[in-house]
Amino acid sequence: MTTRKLTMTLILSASALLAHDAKLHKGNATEGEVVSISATSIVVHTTKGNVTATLNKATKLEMGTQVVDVNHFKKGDKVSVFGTKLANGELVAKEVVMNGAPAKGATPAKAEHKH
Amino acid sequence: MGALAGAVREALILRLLKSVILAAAGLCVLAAALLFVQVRSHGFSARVKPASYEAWIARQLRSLASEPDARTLKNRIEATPLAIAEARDHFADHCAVCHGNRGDGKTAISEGLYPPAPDMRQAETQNLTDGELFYLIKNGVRFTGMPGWGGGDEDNWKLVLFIRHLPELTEKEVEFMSEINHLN
Repeated sequence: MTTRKLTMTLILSASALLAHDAKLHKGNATEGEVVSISATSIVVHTTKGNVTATLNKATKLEMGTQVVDVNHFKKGDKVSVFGTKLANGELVAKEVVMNGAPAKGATPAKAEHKH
Repeated sequence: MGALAGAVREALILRLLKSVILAAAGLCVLAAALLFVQVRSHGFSARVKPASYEAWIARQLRSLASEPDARTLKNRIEATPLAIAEARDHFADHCAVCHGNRGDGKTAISEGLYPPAPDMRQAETQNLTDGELFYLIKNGVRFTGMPGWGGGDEDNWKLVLFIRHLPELTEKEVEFMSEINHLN
């Protein structure tokens, strides 16, 4: 019984490590609420004020396990932006991940493709 | 007359051979004596700085051991601000713990390594070809603290771009790295 419990614990721990974990991303996340979003940038309201991040073709927008497009995000959505700061301070987003449910009135998410 | 010349030539060759053997034996004795003095004076402590002759020999051996084709490899990644910034974050995540955010090798870990991590802004590193740097990142260096990271070629080539950028690294960029790894 103890062995079974230990095995289950190990399996669950391994699954947790393999899951989409913010800690696996490089750098710190910029977390806050979407103020505005377009095809080329996103403005997020954080505890330190508004932060603008550049979006490009390589930026991955995620809602749960789905990869979505900018139209799935709207003002008030809680997001984490993972990216790289250029030498001039510009933040280029690698991933924008929606945290929790979309804000009230948001367009329902449509899957573009599944992982 | 011919027999005499042959005998003289043979004697000369034997003498030369004897000199070569003696010189080689002398060098071996000298090397053993140096090693003895080195071990007796410092033991096997990794906290001492390698002697300059050791560093020179190690560099020559590293150069000899690198694949000849690696030296001429060209970096296919364009040095864009984004590529350099991505490599900077990667460096902050995986390399700076030994090499330092500035690439100067001034870290607690490096102080206890034998040999210590080099100051990568200096000629010893900057004079290596892009291909050699790529090879070192990917395969590491035996008998040092440098592991072979393997990894994706694109990421490794971007790291080469960042190593080239190290001499011009700004304090703002160091600050961005500190946000990631909390190192100075």
